[in-house]
Amino acid sequence: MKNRDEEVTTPDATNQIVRNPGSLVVLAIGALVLVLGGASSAHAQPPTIKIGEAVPRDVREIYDRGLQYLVTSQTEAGDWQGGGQQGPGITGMALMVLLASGEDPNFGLYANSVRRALRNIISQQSASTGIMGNSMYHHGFATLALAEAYGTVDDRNLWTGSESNRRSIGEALELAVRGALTSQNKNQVGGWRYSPDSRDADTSVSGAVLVGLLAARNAGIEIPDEAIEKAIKYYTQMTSDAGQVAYAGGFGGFDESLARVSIATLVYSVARRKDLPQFKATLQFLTSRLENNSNQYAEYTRYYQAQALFQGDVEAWEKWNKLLVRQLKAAQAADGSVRGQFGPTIGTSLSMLALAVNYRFLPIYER
Amino acid sequence: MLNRCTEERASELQRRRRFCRSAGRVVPAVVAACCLLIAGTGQLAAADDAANAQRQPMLHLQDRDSATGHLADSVGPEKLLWASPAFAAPLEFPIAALRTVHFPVNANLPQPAGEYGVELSGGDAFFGELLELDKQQLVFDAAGLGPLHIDRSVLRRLYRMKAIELIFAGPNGLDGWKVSGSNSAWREDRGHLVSDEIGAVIRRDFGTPALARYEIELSWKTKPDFDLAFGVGEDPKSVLRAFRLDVWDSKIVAWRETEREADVTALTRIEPGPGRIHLQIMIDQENGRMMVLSPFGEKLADLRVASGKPQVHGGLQLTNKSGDIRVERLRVGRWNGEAPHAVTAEKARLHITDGTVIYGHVESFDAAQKQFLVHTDEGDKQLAENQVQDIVLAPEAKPVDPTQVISALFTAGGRASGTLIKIEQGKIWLQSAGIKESIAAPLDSLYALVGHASDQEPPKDLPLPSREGRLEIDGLALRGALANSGDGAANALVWQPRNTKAGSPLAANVSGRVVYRDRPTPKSLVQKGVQPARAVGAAAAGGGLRAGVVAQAGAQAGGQKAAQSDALQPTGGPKPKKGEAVLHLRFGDTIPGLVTQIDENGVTFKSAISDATFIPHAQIQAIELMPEAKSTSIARQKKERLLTVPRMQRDNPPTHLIRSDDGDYLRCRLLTMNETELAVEVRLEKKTVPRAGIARIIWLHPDTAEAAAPAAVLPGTRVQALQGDGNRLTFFATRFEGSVLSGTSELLGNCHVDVGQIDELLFGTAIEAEAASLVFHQWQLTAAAEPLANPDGEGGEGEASGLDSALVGKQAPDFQLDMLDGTKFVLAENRAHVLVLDFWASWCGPCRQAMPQVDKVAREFADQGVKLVAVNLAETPDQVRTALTQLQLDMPVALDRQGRVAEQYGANAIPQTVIVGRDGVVQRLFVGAGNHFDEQLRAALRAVLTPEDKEAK
Repeated sequence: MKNRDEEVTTPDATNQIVRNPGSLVVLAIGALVLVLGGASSAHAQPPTIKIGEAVPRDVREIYDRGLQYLVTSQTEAGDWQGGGQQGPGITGMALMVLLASGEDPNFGLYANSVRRALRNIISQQSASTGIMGNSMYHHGFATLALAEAYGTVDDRNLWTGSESNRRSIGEALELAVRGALTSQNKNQVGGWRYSPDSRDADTSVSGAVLVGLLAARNAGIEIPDEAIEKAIKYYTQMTSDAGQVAYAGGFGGFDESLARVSIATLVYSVARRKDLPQFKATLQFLTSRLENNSNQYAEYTRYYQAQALFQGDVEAWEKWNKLLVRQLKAAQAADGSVRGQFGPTIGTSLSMLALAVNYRFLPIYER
Repeated sequence: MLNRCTEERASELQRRRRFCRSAGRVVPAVVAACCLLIAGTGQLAAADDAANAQRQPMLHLQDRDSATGHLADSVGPEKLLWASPAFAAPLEFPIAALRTVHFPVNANLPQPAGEYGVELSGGDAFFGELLELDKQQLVFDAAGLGPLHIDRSVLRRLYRMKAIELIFAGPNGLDGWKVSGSNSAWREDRGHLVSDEIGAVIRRDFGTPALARYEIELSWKTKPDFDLAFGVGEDPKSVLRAFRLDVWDSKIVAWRETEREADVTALTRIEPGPGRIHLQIMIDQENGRMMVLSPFGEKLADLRVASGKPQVHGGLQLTNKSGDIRVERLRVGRWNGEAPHAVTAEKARLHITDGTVIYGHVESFDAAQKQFLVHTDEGDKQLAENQVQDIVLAPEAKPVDPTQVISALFTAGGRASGTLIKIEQGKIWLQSAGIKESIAAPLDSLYALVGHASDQEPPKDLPLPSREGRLEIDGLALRGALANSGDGAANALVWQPRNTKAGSPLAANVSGRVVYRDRPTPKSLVQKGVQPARAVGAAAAGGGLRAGVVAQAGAQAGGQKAAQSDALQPTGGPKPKKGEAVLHLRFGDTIPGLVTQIDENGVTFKSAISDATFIPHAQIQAIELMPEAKSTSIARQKKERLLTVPRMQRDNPPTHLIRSDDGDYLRCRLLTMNETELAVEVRLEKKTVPRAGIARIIWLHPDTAEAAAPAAVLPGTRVQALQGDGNRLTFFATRFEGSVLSGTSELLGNCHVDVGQIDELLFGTAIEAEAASLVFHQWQLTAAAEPLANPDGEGGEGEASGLDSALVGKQAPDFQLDMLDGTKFVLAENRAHVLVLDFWASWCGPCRQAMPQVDKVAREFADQGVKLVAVNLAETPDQVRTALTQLQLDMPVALDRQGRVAEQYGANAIPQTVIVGRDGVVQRLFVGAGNHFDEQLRAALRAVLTPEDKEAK
């Protein structure tokens, strides 16, 4: 396979052949690769409590248990190393679970955890490129987490000691955005891939980065419209009439990856492009498969499925959410974690974030 | 990692993948190649392990009961102590009840050791060294037993052992046997060979000589109907001409028929039910003689049926004509032509090595001179030891009291009989009549202990403590009765086998049943000669509850019955009052009562027969809200459809089936039910259904084989009483007294069951196993077939030569197609090139994956005359151009608009890449492509290109 970056350390993919009852047979690849990174240390800041609607008891119980797992498994340095992958993207996912809990991030129960996670993420940012972590997956999720924290967490006292990289959240976010845009400019299809210097793209990494950029734009960071348009155009090219979304550009074909279809639905929504026929196609694809899980990357899929359905069709989301709650209830371990393909930190974080749509505390969940 | 198929998998794929066949001119349905990884299966090994695990000593009693276990130490002539893993303490059996104890035997049996064999009047035999012989006694150093002083009065025969050679001892499993018929025609059980398949044949060539002896022990459960042929070869005719044991009507006969003559002798009558025979057979193939003897030397048949052309074959063939048969023991050896134990009075004599016979009495043996002193009518003679082959001493028969005698059969041959003194530390001590010493034989040198009381009257029945039943535990079947347990017993189930004076509690966690009344055998299966499996047997008992299963079993057997009743309700059991529902629990118990509510935790109800008011979902199998509602028949197809979960619902399968009073079914998730309505979720939509029209609710538990654990574990032994009416009561038994088993049910409170009123009592995991056969468990969801996928993308990593297709080596079908650039392509006009035809379509992911590789490789070889033509399947030029633009490829594309060329080249799966040589012959054909397809293609082209081609470069 030639379109693979050298930085990729844990490639994985799925190939599927699908036989439609009619005549068309499609096949494609899905790939999700998260790349490990190191970690360092940091401290925390201020919030805004949002009042959610009545949230079912099951949701609260599952979420609280997952949250407890994450809070107790966070390292002193602010990241998560409890098995599976680690790095600023993963720290970002877990941070978002803390932010989405509804607790005051500055004075509440998890204020300290929030600050530690933020310091950890920012400390890993390259001062020259703005890139966080060793893969654009990390960069994308870390950017999203910074955007969600920006304006919510009071970072006046984030840094206490003489740490390096003592940027504010806003500075870090701006720098991260610049890194992502620079990477996009190098990219011939207007998306992203594992390496910031890649010339090709895939719809999975691109989703992570693009959602981060969209969240940053929503948070008030200036993003050139053409950058968003270019990325959205890339997605429309990768979307089939039937709503399937291909993985890698150039070739790859389509399969039934719910994750990628969800990503596309989400980016069309958050980019305010629900007018696109591709949006209608992907949404239709999702809403007709509410009772299907992904065979692969279940938590990753749910994370995007939740947001995509919520943004695209609240009624469908409400139905799907019932199933999500039942499934998470069964999947959650006694310690509150959800063991996933990429370890308990990612599994738990993404599962809780899928559930967190019920709370709607995170700005990215706003419709 | 990427999608492709390599040729090595192609044949497997051919079988496994589902193709869309080309649909002619509309949209050709072509399949993107996929690769499957095929996991190996390893079930055979497990069966072998099970067989090995069961190779343990087995006790057979006079009344055909049996139990695995081992002999425990005992003292005295009248009893044996048998330690069975199923019991907490050894069982004490009277010697009179003993039929045999079989010990497991290794395949490599030790051979009889020593210079001499000695036979005693009762049939005992020893092997060893001759130490002394005088008028009073023989001093014989028996191998493994030490010196024995044997009184002359019991000496029958003394022979120098040259040819008592065992050729085979077994059967010790199916290894080495040739089985004809289905794979399951014969199976292995505890080393035995077992078949209940009609016409199942098993054969083995032992290379036996013309004179051969056999010892065989056969048993059966229902009835024997077999044909055992001795001295058979590969030629089926040899079977027809062989001596054989056969079943004629209700007799086992020995017979032979040749072109010249025939003879038959009946050996024994067959009694109904289980049985066994144990025989010695001597065959003389050259002279056409067969002798059949009881194991103790009684001659049952002596056939002399000659053949015009005697032939010697070394094989044995057993056919199970019908019924069932089990080969428990088979020993094959050379025979010296003499019947081992002639029971007719014989004259004393010596067989001399030169073949002559000297009649007379051996007086003594001079060990120093190695001479026998023989008293004959002509006077005394001295015969050198090495002249003597066989000495028949012809003693007077001296019967011993068989009720006091058991025989030890040695694996190395030989036998010792006598009164049991004791069993201690792995040895058995016997006192044999006429032998001064007590014989101490290690139990591990024996293959069997045989009781002789079978020849006598059966032992007098001792009174049983309660109703007689048959205890069935794996490896054990013992008739007897439950005995009083007393209070605080470790196990409320104390079993006292027949003819024993005391019972023993069953061991903890043992699973099995006590059968008080046998279930009828389902007729359709019997007619097919099929031994009913336990589950089917369970299904067949009585009407009501199991009627549905019977119907299904019939449908499966006959393959015709399209519909079956969906009846659930047992005809008996606690009757619901008017307006009451019947709750069916997971293990088959039923409770009549008023169901007031169902919520996310379970069912709330009120029942006159139960103290409980709540049952969790996991324990419920069904609720009949209208027990009086008629059952309807449900077409098999409809039921299948009802129980197939579509792919779209794969991860949210329905959890309940709701049946209306007029027989309609709805599958859903039952959320709640109150007095008036049911709230259900259908495909994530909540709906409300009035309760009035609902006849029953069936719970679709995800895996019924793994039945739910009991709701609570209470003290006592978990049992299930199966009543005659099909109703079941599951509880924890704590006490048995008189005829009543008492205990507590987690749902129903105190329970009392009179064993006089039940058909079966199950205990342990047998309850779960039985539950799996209940009618509700037939309602099993199955997932709709998933599209084939290559889950980890490893498919096709192996070597692909491209040589496997049938097209390879054949003339490439000629064709003419329009090219995308407007020119025409004619295959026959391209003999100057080595052609690479790449069949593809823009929607085919793997094709798009492969095309850049194919293009690159073709370019590498272009200067050697390789030409690529990408044959597009049935797409418009615009579609093709768009795809090429997306792929950033510039390659010659032929437009196979009708898909005809693809059809000619068998391209029903793409990508397919074909290499056509300059001779116009297909050289390679690859289906699918993958990560390293470029390398495969490169290698193939290198191989195809001739040296001249290469020089062209």
